Parts: sequence; C-alpha cells; structure tokens
Amino acid sequence: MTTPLLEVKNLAKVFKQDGFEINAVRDFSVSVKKGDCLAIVGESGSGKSTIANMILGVHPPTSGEIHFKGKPLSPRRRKNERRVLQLVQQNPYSSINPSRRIGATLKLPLKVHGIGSSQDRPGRVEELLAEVGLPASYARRAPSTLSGGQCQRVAIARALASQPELIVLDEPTSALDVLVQARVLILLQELQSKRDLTYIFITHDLAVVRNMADRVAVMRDGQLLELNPTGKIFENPDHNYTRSLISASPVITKKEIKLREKLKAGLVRER
Amino acid sequence: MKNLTLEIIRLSLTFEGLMETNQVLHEISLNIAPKEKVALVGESGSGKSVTARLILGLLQSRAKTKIQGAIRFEGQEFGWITEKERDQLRGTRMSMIFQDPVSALNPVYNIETQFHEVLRRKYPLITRRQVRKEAIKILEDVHIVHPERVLKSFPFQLSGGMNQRVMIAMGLINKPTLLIADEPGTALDVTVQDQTLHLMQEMVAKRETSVFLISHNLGVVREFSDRLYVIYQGRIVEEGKTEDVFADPRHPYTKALLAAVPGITSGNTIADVINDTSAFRAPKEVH
Repeated sequence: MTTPLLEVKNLAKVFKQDGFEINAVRDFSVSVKKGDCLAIVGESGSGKSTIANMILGVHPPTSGEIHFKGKPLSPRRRKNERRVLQLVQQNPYSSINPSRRIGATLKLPLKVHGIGSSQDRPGRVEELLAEVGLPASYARRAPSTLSGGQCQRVAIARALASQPELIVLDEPTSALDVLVQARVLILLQELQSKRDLTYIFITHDLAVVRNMADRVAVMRDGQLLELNPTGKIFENPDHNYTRSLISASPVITKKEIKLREKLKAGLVRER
Repeated sequence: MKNLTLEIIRLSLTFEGLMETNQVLHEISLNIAPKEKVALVGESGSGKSVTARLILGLLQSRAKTKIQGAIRFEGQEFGWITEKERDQLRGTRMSMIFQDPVSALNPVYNIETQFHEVLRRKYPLITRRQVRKEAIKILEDVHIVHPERVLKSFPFQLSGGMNQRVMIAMGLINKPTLLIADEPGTALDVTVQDQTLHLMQEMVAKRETSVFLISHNLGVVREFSDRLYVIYQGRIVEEGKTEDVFADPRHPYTKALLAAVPGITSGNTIADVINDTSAFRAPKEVH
C-alpha cells in the first residue's frame, strides 16, 4: 500500500479563554491520497476551519500528529513544508493585499521560495495568470479593479505559484454568485487534474461538495461524525445529522427533491 | 380591480457621477398582490438591492439620483407624498429584514429596548410594560423558548439563528402589509437558513403579509416564492409563476443561472457556463 499524502492522527485542539476550555476539535483522524479531494462539512463552530489551520501550521495541535508523505510535520514549519501546503480563503478582497499590484502579489511566493531567477519571474507570473484564465495585462492592475470572481482567480494563482501539492480551500466560492461560482469550480477541477493536486475542501454548501469531493467528513461540535465516499453520503448516510444537513439545503430540480424526501423519511424512521 | 400591495411601473434609476452617469435600473415593472410572496433574483450588481431601497423610499431624497417611473404602495403614489409621510410608512406598514442579523441589530441596546423602538413607531405612547407583553407574545410565535431571557440579552449574546428569529419578530410585530427580505439567512448555515425560511413562511401566512424576497439563491427562491422576476443588469429578463419558470426557463440568462447551480444528485455535474453574455440582453420573457 502506498503511503497517503496526508495523514492526520487523533488530532485535537483545545482553546483556553478566560479559564474556560473550548474543545474545538476532538480526536480527528483522516488520511488523504494524492490527487483526492476531501471535503470537510459542518455548521459554523463545528471545528472545520480549526482543522485546516492545524494542517497549515497556523495553530499547533494540542495533541495528535500530522504526517505528510509519511513524515511528521513539525509544529514550527520549515520553509519547504510551508511551500507544499497552500491556502485559498473565502473572501478574495480581504485575503489579497489591496495596495499591491496583482503581479507583485504573485511574484512574492516565487521570491520567498526562490523559484526561478528574478529575470524569469515576470514570465512565470504571466503563465500563472494564463493558467487561471486571466490576461497577462492584469499583472499591472490593482485588486480593487477586479471583480470578485477574478480576484478569487488571483488567490488561486497565488496558491499555485509556490508549486504546492496540497491546497486547503476554505469556502472558496461561498462569497461568489452562482455563475461565477460554477466557473471557479470548473477551474479548480481542471487544475486538479492538470497539476495532480490534492484538495481539502472546507464548506457548508453540500451541493458543491457533491460535485467536487471524492470523500466527505461530516463534523459537529469538533467531532467527526461520519467519513464516507461522496456517493454514500448522499444516498445512504450513516448518521442522522448528515441526513438533516442534506435535507436543509435548498435545491432546484425534481430529482433532487425526491432524494431529499427520501433522506428526510429515513430521518424520521430512525428517531 | 384588486388593490395591489405594491406596484412598480417603468421605474428607472440613474446615479449621476462627476464625469458620467450610471443607469442602474432600466424601466422595470413589477407588482405584488396582497398575501403574495414574490422574489427578485439576480447576481450582485444587477439592481436587486437598489430596488428594495427605492421601495423603502431611501434613495428618493438623495442628490444626484434621477428616478423615473412610479412606485405605488397600497395605491398611494410615492412621488406625491412627502419625505415625512414616507418615513411614517417604514417600520409600520412596510418593514425589512436583512442578510446578516448580527450586524443588523444594534449591539449597544438590549433586545427589549430595540423592540420598544420598533413599537413606538406605530404606537408612540406605548409603555414599557406593553412592549414587554407584545414582544414576549411574538417571540413565542417565532419559537423562542425563553423570551424573557432573550429580551434582556444583547445581540452578541445570542446565536446567529436566535438573532435571525428576533429580527423576523421585529419585522412583523407592527403587522406590516409588506415585508422586504434581502437575502435572509444567507450569512448563516444551511440548517439555520432552512429554519428561517420555514419560520418566515409560517409567520407571513398567519399575518397575511406580502413578501418581497431578494435573493441570488435559486433554491431558496424555489422553496419560498409564489412568483418571481429575474433581473440582469437592471433589466427584468423573465417573470412568471415560480414553478413555471423552473420547469421551463425561457430566457438565456435564466437558463444559464439554473444550469450553474450545483446539484446534490449523482451525475449532475456543473455545466460549462457560457462565457458569451451577449444573449443575456435578449428581450423579456413572460410566462
């Protein structure tokens, strides 16, 4: 058996505040194969972003281990460990420096990680922009002149700049309109197959999960309730909470209504 | 003829800048009958929220704003009444609930004080005791378990879902004839959003209120509204009964919108979105 790209074992996080202890994440274990997309879903406060932050090295875990390619990741990450794990956040307007031109934003990771010589970099920036479907002239633009969808493309290009192997997508499309969301999701799928990327997709939108993820982890109150392939989650979930999450999401076609009714019926029966 | 709750006739809105003018609404017409739930669907920047602000009468007195066409609320022409009369309509005959309840409520007053403020618009001489009685009654209606405790709380002490309930209760306490809901609950989780919609449905049915729902979420619109209008770049491109539009979308923009929504059934992949938007300017389709 090949070693998984990312393996998380018994991860826990306790935040201490004013003498209170908050168990943000309890005993979370998962392994992700290369090229897979794992979705983490749950309500706000369920601990999904805390998991992402621990994987990225923003907070050290209280207990538990994170292995990347079979080797444990240290709580204080070395530069190369930071390079291979990248993040795309929810709101592109606040995650991109507004006073820096797009070109400079994309050049920074190249500089930090010493990718290419300084003469090559403008060319690399152009390539990155082309990869996310933006014209090369955008390198000279300021973020404020871009629309939300274009800005999110820049955020994706910035994550790609350091040639990562795993990207954490923290609600990457929930601030966008449906049409723009569809375009960004298609872009993410294309990039995944082209660059053989692994995604950890954090969201509360189950319809997006259905179309993007290979496996889904359902979280509530810091606990992992269910970890199953996407097909099983939507057809025959193990947990009642998963059922109630799916039956709460608004849908538009008759086929979807049927599926939801089926899951709702299961919900009542198990009670 | 039945008296419509709201009637908008060929309404245009233009913002005048220093160098250029920017027309954001192009002769839109829509109407809402009593007890009807009508949705306005469109992407950001399509003119949804300015339409709501115009109905509330919040843009009329702004300089550099040119408004053409007519808004009639319960048969009363907006152009003919004074600013003061418009102000008296807000919070009494029409009210609004917002996207994010936590930021819409005032963080420095407790819930009871905020209810007092709302009730005072309709009953200027209301006593604190009557406020408490009325507020407890309506909070029970929105399924809040300990209304007394909630009344003493500040918005930041309550969860997002609780705040949402409080806001719905405040919006409906003066029994308005029209409730404007701007993306209600979209800032919250799916489960809370679902509860919000059901609660709104229940409350407006009981109180016979008309609802004008503004949303970009087609799923929410399908579940909530009786009739809908699709707006694209300040123009209404399709209108009809909700089920008709979803069963048979006719305008290229509506079709693209529906195709772009990711589904929860298998084999329902995200369709390639048309990048050519010129077809979206096609004339309006009416069901």
